[in-house]
Order: sequence, then C-alpha cells, then structure tokens
Amino acid sequence: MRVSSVFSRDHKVVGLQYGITSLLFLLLGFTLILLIRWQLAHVGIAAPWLARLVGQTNAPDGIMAPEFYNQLGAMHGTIMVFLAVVPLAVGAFGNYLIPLMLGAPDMAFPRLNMLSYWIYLAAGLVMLTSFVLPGGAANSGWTSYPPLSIIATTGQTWWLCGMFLLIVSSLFSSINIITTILQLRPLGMRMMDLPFFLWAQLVTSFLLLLAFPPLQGAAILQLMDRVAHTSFFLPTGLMVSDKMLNVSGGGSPILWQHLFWFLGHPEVYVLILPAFGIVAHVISNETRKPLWGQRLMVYATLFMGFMSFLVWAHHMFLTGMGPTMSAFFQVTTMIISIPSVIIVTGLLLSLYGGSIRFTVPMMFALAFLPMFGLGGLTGLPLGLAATDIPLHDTYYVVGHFHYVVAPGTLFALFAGIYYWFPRITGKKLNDTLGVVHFWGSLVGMNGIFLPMLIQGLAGVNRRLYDGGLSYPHAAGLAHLNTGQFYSAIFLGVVQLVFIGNFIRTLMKRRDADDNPWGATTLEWSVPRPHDAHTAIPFTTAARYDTGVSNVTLGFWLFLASEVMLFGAMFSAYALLRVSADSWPHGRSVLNTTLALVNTSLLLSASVPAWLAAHKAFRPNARAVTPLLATSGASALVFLAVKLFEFRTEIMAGLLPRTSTFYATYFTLTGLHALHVVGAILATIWILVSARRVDTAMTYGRLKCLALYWGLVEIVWLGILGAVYFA
Amino acid sequence: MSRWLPIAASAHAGGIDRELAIVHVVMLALFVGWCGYLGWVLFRFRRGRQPFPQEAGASGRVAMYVTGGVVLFEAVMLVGLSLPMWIARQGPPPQVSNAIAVRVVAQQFAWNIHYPGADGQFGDTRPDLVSSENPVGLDRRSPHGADDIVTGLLHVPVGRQVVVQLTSKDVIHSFGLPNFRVKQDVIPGMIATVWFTPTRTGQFDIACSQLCGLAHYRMKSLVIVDSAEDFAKFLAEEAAFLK
Repeated sequence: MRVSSVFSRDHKVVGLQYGITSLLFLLLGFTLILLIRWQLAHVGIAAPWLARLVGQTNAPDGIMAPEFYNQLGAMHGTIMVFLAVVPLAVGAFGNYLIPLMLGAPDMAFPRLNMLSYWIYLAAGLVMLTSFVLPGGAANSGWTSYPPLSIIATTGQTWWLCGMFLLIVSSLFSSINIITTILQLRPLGMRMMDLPFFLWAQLVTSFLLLLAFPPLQGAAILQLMDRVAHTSFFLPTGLMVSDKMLNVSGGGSPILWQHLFWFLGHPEVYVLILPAFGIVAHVISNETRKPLWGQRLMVYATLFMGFMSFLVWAHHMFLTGMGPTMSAFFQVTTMIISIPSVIIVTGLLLSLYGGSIRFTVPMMFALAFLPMFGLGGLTGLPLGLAATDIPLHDTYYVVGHFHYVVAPGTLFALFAGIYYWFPRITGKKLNDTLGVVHFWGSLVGMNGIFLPMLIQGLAGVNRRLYDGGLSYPHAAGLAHLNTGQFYSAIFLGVVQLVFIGNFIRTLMKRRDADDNPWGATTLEWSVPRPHDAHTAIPFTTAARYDTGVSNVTLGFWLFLASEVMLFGAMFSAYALLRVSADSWPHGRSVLNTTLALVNTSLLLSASVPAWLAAHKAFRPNARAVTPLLATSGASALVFLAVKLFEFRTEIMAGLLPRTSTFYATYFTLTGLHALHVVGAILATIWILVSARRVDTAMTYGRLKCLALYWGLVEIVWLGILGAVYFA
Repeated sequence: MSRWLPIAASAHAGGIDRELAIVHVVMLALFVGWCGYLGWVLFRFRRGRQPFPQEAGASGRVAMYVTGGVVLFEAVMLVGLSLPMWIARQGPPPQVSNAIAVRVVAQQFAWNIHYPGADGQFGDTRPDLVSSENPVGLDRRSPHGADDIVTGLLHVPVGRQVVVQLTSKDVIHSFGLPNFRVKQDVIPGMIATVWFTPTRTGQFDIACSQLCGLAHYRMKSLVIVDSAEDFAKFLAEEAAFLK
C-alpha cells in the first residue's frame, strides 16, 4: 500500500477510513457493554477468565472492581457517541456520498478533510491508551460531572484531551461539509432540490459547528481545574473524605452541566438527523417513489436543528431549577418533538402508494420507524418535569436513548451500509446473512432495551455496579438482567454474522451489477472506479450565483465556531462573577497600563494585516511582505508583554489557582494569547507559501488573516472591558 | 400502571403516577396506531400486489390531524398537569404547623441525617469540626446544638409533612426516594429543599441517583416511616443516647 493512499485527500478514501475506524470503535464499545451486562447478570460471581482478560487490578480474582465498572460505563458512552456513531454517520457516509450526490470532484477542502480523519484517529488512540493508565480510563460517566470528574484519576485528563482533539476534528469536518454542500452544489440546483440526505447532513454539520465549541471551552476549564488546580467547577468548602480540599473554591458545578448539555442536546440530533437522511433515501428508492413532502421535511429538519439549541436544560430538571426556567425548557422540549413527529409521519406516508421491495437495507430502514418511534415516545414522560422526577437517572432514560440510537440510528446506519456497499465495492452483501443479521439485531436489541423501560418504571437507577441488587425496590427485577445479558450475547453473535458477511463479500469476486437496487440518484451514476481528479471549483473564485468563494465561506464558518467558543468562555465568566460573593475590580489588581500598551500593539498588528489583504488587490508581493512583517513583529511584542505580565503576577504569588478571578483572567487571556500565536504562525505560513501558490490563493488567505485579526481584536476588547476594566 | 411502579408512599405520589399512566396510555395508543398503519401499508403496497408505484401519494390529511392531536395532547399535559404539579413540588412547602424539619448531608458514600432535636432549632455546623465521628461538623456547644440528633436513618412520622434540606460535602449526589416520588440532585455549594408527606408506615429506600464514585451503588439508606408513637419513641431513645 502506498503512503499516498493512506494519507489520502480523496473523499472516498477518507470516508472509508472513517467508516472502518468507526466500525471498529463500534465493536469496541459493544464489547465494553458485554462486560457490563455480564457483570450485572453475575454480581459477585468470580470468573477467572475476566481476570485474565482485563487484568488483576480491574477484576481482582475474577470479580469486577467497581472502579472498572465505572470506567466501562463512561467509556462505552464516550466511544459509542463520539468515536463510533457520529464518525460513521457524518465522517463515513457524509464524506463518501456528499460529493457524489452533488456531482462534485471532491470535498471543498480535501486536505482539511484528511486532517480531520487523522485528528479523529489520534483522539481515539488517546481514549484507548487511557485504559492502561494507573487508575484506568475516565470513570465519571460520559457526562463527566464535576466535582467528581475533577477529583477522579488521571484517565479523566486523557478523556478531556481526547475530547478536545475530537472537537477539533469534528469542527474541521463540519466546516468542510457545509462548504461542500453550499458551494459545490451544481449551478442551477436550488437548495430545495437537494436530496433530503444532504439536507440532513447540512443541518447536522451546523449543529456540530455551533454546539461543540462550548464543550471545547468547558473541556479547557475542566483541564485547568485538574491540571492547574483552579476552581471553575469547585464551590467553596469542598470536603473529600472529611478533609478540606486544598483549592480556592468559588466555582460552580452546575456551570459544567450547562456547557456540557448545550452541546449534549444538539448532539442527540447530530446522532439522529443523518439517520433520517439515510432512511429517507433508502425508503424513497425501495418504494420507487419520491419522498412524501420533501419541503415540509426540510423545514422540519431546519426547525429541529434550531430548537435543539434551546432544550439543553431538560437534562437538568432535578438540579433545583426554578419554575420559570423549567417551564421554558419543558415548553421547548415539547415543541421540538413536533418536527420529529412530522419527519416520522413523512417517512411513514412515503410508503403509501409505493411499490415496496423488502430488500435488506429496506428492512433496516423500515424497522427504524417503529423503533425510533418508541425512543421518541419514551422521551415524553422524561420531557415533562413532573413525570421526570421518578424516571430521572433510572434505566428508563437509558432505555429511551438507546431506542433512539441503537435500533434507531444504528439500524439506519446498517441500512446505509447494506445499501451503498455495492456502490463502494462493486459487490453486494449476501441477502440471507443480511436477513439473519436484521432479525437477530431486532430481537437482540429489544431483548436488551425493553426490560430497561420496566426497570426504569420500577425505579432502578442507572450506573449501579450491582444493578440495584441491594435495593429492595430493585432486587425484584434482578432476573431481568439475566435475560438482558443473554440478549446481548445473542446480539453479539448476530453481529459476527454481519462481520463475516462483510469480510466474505470483500474477498469475493466483483459482481457484474454496479447498481443492484436500480437506484436513480446521482451517487450511482458516476462511473466507478473514478480517478479523474479535477480541480475543486470556487476555491478562491466566487460562485457565480452567490458571489462567495469556498475559502471565504469556510473561514466565516470557522469564525462562527470561534464566536461560540469565546461566547461560552465569556458566559462562564459572567456566571462565575454574578454568583461570586466578592469579585475584585480588574482595574485595581491588574496592570491596566500594560493592557493598554498591548491594545495598541494589537492594533499595530491587525491594521497592517488588513492593509495587506487590501493591497493584494494588486498582485504586488513587495508591498505585502513588509506589512505582514510589521504585523507579525507587533504580535510578537504583544506576546512578550503578555508573558512579562504573567511573570510579574506569578512572581507575586498570583496564580490561576489563587481565586476564580485569577483563574478566569489567566485562562481567558491565555486562550487569547494562543490565538495571537495562531495569527503569527498563519502570517509566516502565508509569507513562506506565497511563492508557491497563485496570487488569488494568497489574496484569499490574506483576507482570512485579516478577518481572523478582527476576531482577535474583538475578543481582546471583550477581555479588556470585562476583565481589566470592569 | 401501579403494578409497574414502586409502592407509592407519599401524598403527592398519586398525582405523578396518574400523569405517568395517562402519558403511557397515549404513547401506547400512538405506537400501536403507527405499527398498525405500518403493517397495513407494507402489506397493501408490497411489490407483489403493487408492481408499479401509484402516481399520487398519500394526501396526508389524516396524518396532519394525528400530528395536530399529538401537539394538542402535549399542550394539555404540559399546561394542565405537568406545570402545576412541578410548580407545587418546586415551590415553598405549604405552611403546616406540625411539619418535621430535617437536614440531610450527603457525602461519598453515606447519607447523614441531622434532626434539630427537642428545641426544634438546628445547632451550628462548622467545617473544621467535621470528622468521621461528627460527619456534619455539629458544634454541640452552640446554643441549639446540644440536643441535635445526627444519625444514618431517616425516621419520619406517618401523615406529617417532612421538609428536607439537602447539602453535599464533596461531589454531586441525588436524593432519590423511589417510593415517595421524590428525587433531587444534591450539589455541593447549593442548598436544595424537598418535602413530602408519608402516607404509610414501613421501610423505604434512599438511593443515591447520581454517579458519585466507586461505591455509588451502595450509597443508600432507609426512610423509616413510623407511627406517631414509634416516632416519639425514636426521638426519646436518641435523646437518651445523647446523655
């Protein structure tokens, strides 16, 4: 295998890399849950094989340690959501199919695309490595609620680093997908004519772009708490094992929950929207009819995407929320169920009048409908705060979201795999094995998840190492765990059928039929194999109809994510400040003179960058170089002044851990300084590469640099106002 | 519905259970309806019977009525049942003369129950006094501290309103009383209040409902609902133990 085919920029290769990697993570996440289900069915029973499999520390004498159980739970969730389902739905299906469905040569930014895969892989490896650390992997749940996550073992730090990388990767990929769909759409193709699959991917990418940065900010804050011993999420007077924790306090545990669920809820729609897209696509083909009410479904999807930013606190009903806030979030939660109902109804109505073929992908797509329906319906009593009281944090919740994601999203993804496998490999997966896989998965999953609803109604809590065996209210249902364990084993065996089918088909000779489903959509019409690599259109030139170039659009999207990141950071600052007992005035404790000096330095860095972008109208490299040099030099001096300021404070014993004030001061200005470093690196890169690329490209980059300096300026003014002078 | 739920033991449990039942009946009806339609449409429009798709698709009028019905149902549930009940639960407890006040301090992995004692006033608590013998850091020499009772089981008398003030010393816990339909996150740095009126005597679980560390699964205690006499006896025994 050649290096160029491993580090490929071809969207099809990147898509396949995403696909294979995420399927392996899916298998790993499933293996972890097999261990969990084994434990719940065999509480306190020693199994020598377990000690051999996971080590003596994790299972002393074959009895699973509670710490290890918590690791399995946290990592199962993390791996399934962030490393398996989303990369499969967006990274694999999105990358492979979007350009084909648009008739585009590739994604808008092929190199960025390659990069996002490799960063995703790195994130996955970080997560995997954390299992062998002392204390093992993260064990505070996939939600990582502080203070528990802050006093947890080293694995949590790795988890945060892994999440950080993962967010970077998904930001790159969402920028790429949005730009590709909007820019590489054939001229003359109206947005409403886009296949529903592309609409689903488009809205999903917007959610990733805008919802993930706040979690990135939160991850930075939690890293600070763990590594620099700040107290963003630690309140005053914390005592662990009856000993005062040696921290300043003054933080807020609830702040993490707001930042986490601001991502966490849109994330649910990130999991489900691509599934809608695939199911709609398969149903439309296998009924030989266009989708019912495409326009209505598109509007429903857009509305759902928008609303998903306004429901996050329904995960927090029991944190002691007042009636007004909970009323708001209950109303938004009920409202967001409406577009889901519309989309499912649309899919059901699409069947009417069709000529329905029960192919394997169609079976998965059809089963998606009632299974997702069950997942959605069980969300109702959780979304109503009063009925959430008994059900919150019980297996009812676990059953609810597993119905949405497992026989929901995963079935849609399986439908997609069976459906597009011939498109990708030229070979069709075996039908008989596919039917076995389908019915087996349907039975196995319901065997696991349906009892969860019963357990949840009976009040059995989730995340219990013994499955609630020691609680009288839960012990009566302990026998269900045995059935769930055997269902999980059965489900595993059935997946082996799928894996066998997958490998067997890959090994076999190519079928003659390239289009076994008689599909009429664009992705099947490109002859295979396709290697003719034409240039990506509109990279620096503007699209004729919208007047925007790929680089410009992509960069504005990047800026939007940055705005969300700093928005989250400033919100955290505001919340901490408002809830603090006392908060020093920045102007009386910080060096405002240096801050003003730095403001002028920042101006003398950004203004030349703006001028350079302007001057480059005329292809005149000689004028640009000194401007950029001035800009870079001023930025360097800015950093020097900043470092001097930090040094003075640190020498005086004022550290991030001194108080929440200093924690926010160091974190905000530090993050801003990192952005200045980024600007300097970008400046150098533009100068160095200017000779190699054409003038239009350099001009495009200069415009981006100027925009970026605008952001850095605005953030600085925000810091100046909020931290130094308020 | 009640056979699926834990035994109800508080005055407000009935209302929540009724709402749960209504929601589940409607959920089931919708689910059965969808499945019925799905089964019919798959049978009616299978390729064997419908070799070519019909030109006109579904009109969707019925479907829109169903969607409208779902919206209406959600609105009614929300405004009619959930919001009033939630406001009643989250608002200040109704003022009754014979309410029992008790503090519950959560820590990894125990529930500490703190009664004000005979004088009805809580003594001072200070972090520096916290130790394994004095888990809530009670100052016995403070004005009202001498008669305070600190124990591990939550004894309450039947039929009287119990007002519980919740705090946590370390991480987030959740005060879950399945039988009383009470659950409240206990977040360090914040004080949460829940209240309920037990309606039947017996022993019921207190289950920590938020992952709080390696022994989260055994962070449990009991609510013991006593008759009025038994509760008086419990208080007397605890008071005697202090002397």
